[in-house]
Amino acid sequence: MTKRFQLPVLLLALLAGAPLPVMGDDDLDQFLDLNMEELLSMKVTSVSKKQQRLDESAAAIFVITSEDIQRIGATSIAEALRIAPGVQVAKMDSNKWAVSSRGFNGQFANKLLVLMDGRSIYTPSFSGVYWESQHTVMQDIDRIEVIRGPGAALWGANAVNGVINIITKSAAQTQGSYAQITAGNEDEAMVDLRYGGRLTGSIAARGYLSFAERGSSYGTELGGGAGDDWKTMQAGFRIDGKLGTGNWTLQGDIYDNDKNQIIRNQFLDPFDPANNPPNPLSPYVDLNIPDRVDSEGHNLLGRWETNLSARSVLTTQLYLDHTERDEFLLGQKQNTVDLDIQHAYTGIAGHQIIWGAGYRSLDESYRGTPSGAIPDQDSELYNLFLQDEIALLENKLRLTLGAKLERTAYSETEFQPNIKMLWLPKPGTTLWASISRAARTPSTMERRGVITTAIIPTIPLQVTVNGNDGFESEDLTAFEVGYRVQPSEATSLDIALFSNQYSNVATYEIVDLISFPNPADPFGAPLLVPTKLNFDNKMDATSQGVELVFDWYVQKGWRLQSSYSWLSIDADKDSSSSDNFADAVAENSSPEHQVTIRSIYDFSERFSFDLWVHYYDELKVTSLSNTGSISDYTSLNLRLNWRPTEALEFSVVGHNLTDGRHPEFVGETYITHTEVERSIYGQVRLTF
Amino acid sequence: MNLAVSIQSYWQPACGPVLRRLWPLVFMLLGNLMCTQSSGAADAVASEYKVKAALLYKLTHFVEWPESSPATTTKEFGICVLGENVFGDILEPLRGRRLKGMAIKVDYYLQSNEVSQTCNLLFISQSKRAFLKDILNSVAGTAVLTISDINDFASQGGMIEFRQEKDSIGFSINLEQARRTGLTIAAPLLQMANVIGHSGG
Repeated sequence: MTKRFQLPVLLLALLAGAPLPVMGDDDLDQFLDLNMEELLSMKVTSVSKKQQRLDESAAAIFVITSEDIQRIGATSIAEALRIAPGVQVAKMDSNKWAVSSRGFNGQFANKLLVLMDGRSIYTPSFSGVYWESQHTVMQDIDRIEVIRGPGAALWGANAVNGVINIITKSAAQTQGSYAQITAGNEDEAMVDLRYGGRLTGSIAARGYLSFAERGSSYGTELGGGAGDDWKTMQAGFRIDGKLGTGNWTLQGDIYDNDKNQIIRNQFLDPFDPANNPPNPLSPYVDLNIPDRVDSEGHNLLGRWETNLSARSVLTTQLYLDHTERDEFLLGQKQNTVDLDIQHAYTGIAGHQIIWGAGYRSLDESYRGTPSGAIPDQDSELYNLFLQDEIALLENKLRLTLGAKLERTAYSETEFQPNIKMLWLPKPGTTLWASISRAARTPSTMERRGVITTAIIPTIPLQVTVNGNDGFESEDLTAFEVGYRVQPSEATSLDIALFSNQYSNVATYEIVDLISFPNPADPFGAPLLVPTKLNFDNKMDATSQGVELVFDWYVQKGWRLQSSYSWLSIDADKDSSSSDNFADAVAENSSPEHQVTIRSIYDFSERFSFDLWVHYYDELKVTSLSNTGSISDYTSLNLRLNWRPTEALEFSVVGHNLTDGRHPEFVGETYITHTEVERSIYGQVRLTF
Repeated sequence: MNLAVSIQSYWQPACGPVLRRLWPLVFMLLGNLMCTQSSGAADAVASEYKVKAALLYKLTHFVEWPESSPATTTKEFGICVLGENVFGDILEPLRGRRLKGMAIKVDYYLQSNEVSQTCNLLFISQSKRAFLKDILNSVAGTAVLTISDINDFASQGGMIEFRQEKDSIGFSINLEQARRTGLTIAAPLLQMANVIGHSGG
């Protein structure tokens, strides 16, 4: 171990220095042997209890439960996010998703923090998530917490527009054998197998295997299959133990995915003799070339949560993560080592304090191509945070003050404070407001990368967008208010309003131009063509939005959930900016209106029928390199489930039933344009 | 390193010198897991709802249900939870155990109008506190023992309220409310509780 680990080790040592005799989360049976007096004298940890009830949190939070995931028939994590208000999910091709929260969606959307059981899963090259590589047995997901708005004060780097927290079930909750087989026209064949057992009385474990073969979407420009079918293979395990002073978890995954794609325009090196003389029809560019994205990775995570006392819980987490992704554009390898400690303390009356520190080491290596390159990189990230929730009036009024200090290789120390107020005027009614600052730190691409966006064949010359050592963090100041109310026992309403002010937003500034005679008018003004652009921060933006969720428990076995989201973004380039695209994309790549209506209905214990309608407003511009809009669409999704015995379930699921196909998003230049097709699949689930 | 020495001095002698000499992080992670003996229950720290679950079960031994009530005439002893299931799967091991000659069944309800007449005991989660009055009214005529950790539950007409004491759990009993529905609560339980609404009869 190197010296760089000393600081966290010392902090940990200070906290763990005086371990108290603490009983773990033992089985209930052990408690039942105690008498009343013993139970009443037992010390009870007040810390976990202090984890806020969701309807009393001062943040715009929506939870996708394990049941929701089953009942919408989501076969991937990205698809499950479609039911969350204020979240934009759009499919770019069969194996690529654009996902964002509160706008700024794009193929390389970069303002979300996504965690899977505490492990950050965004890719440092572009600060975004390759959603197609994030998978587990869907049945083993306990819940997905979606927090819109900045979570920067408590969460890790990149929590600017939202935090998505994917939490899997504990090994104890996934005991026994489970097999799931899925077959359909788009989700062609999928097999998930899981086995859970006990290693000892207090240590539970599970292991899983997951295979999937998925079909291609419709290629708009190709007039047929988009050549984007894909295969995934993944295995993993989780072990949870209750031993000594607390609970511990050890978990890991390994995957190997092959994803096909068709490259619209694969740039060739104009100075390579092999490419000369150029093809006169497409000089230095190969069009519609089939390509394969080869991605693989593995990770290992250990977490240890210990009760130092009834009012003090220390959590320590260490993970290692390796990802590789190789495609025509770029080859990437990233190794991450991350250590986090967090201490929750309720020992001072009226205060709930959480503080912690994190350290991450990143080792990135890249294979460049004529289309793009990033130099290899070793870097470190540090953070330190403190949050205090103060009860101003018990059970009525709470003030939360928090701040995080964060330092990455590409940013100064970022100070990200927030202040939140929560008011509970009466049971069942919550009002909250918050002001926070968050920083979206630069990605490796924005600082060091180079991307070819065109080739001027006559010279020849590559037009490139270049990383810029002066590229700074994007800043956000967010103002939010929210209101939750239960008008009756069967209904609840959650409204969140926000106004975000961004500065230093990324732009693409012209650094070099060439002029040459206009072939149409050789004696007129020459054509000016930019040949070199740099990433820069010459834009401000503001966004406003409303998100509304209404839940209605109509009667036993029938629930309706509807949500509506409105979003408006205005982007303003600095007067010195020469960028021609960034503002239009920021303003138009996310829908102004989004509506979701779900009916969740049980005919009986054995039969259920679910309906889910989703409206997504038009997108006028979705990428820097493509003009052309995406029309609004409404998708109808149905699921019928039959459970003949406790152990056996059959379901039939249809997605996008009302239209044969529709486009959802156009990514950046290099992938062919596609449309999402109607999908129908059958599924058998067996628990034994 | 001075600090490492001071950490080690906290460790019990039962842990061998080999472990002690290891690099501090490994030492602490594994050392704490392997070396700390689980001591007696009294000075241990337990999870809140596990203790509450055990209390639910233990309390029933001190309560008698009227013989005519639906809860007594069925062959099962109904432990019911209304609202958010704060217990998770903690209550599951109770299923199949026997109580007062009946097999325990555990049921969860989201809405008060679905609560079965066959519940002997109804735990009302904090998620229902906005509707507490209505809920208590709807079960007022049945012999069901109502329990909750909602603040002032007992004084609002609930029967047993779990209260957070300094570091442990205590409870209040609204005796009058229990008697009204024909439930009898044995004296030893009352001695452990803070009794309110004591009419002396």
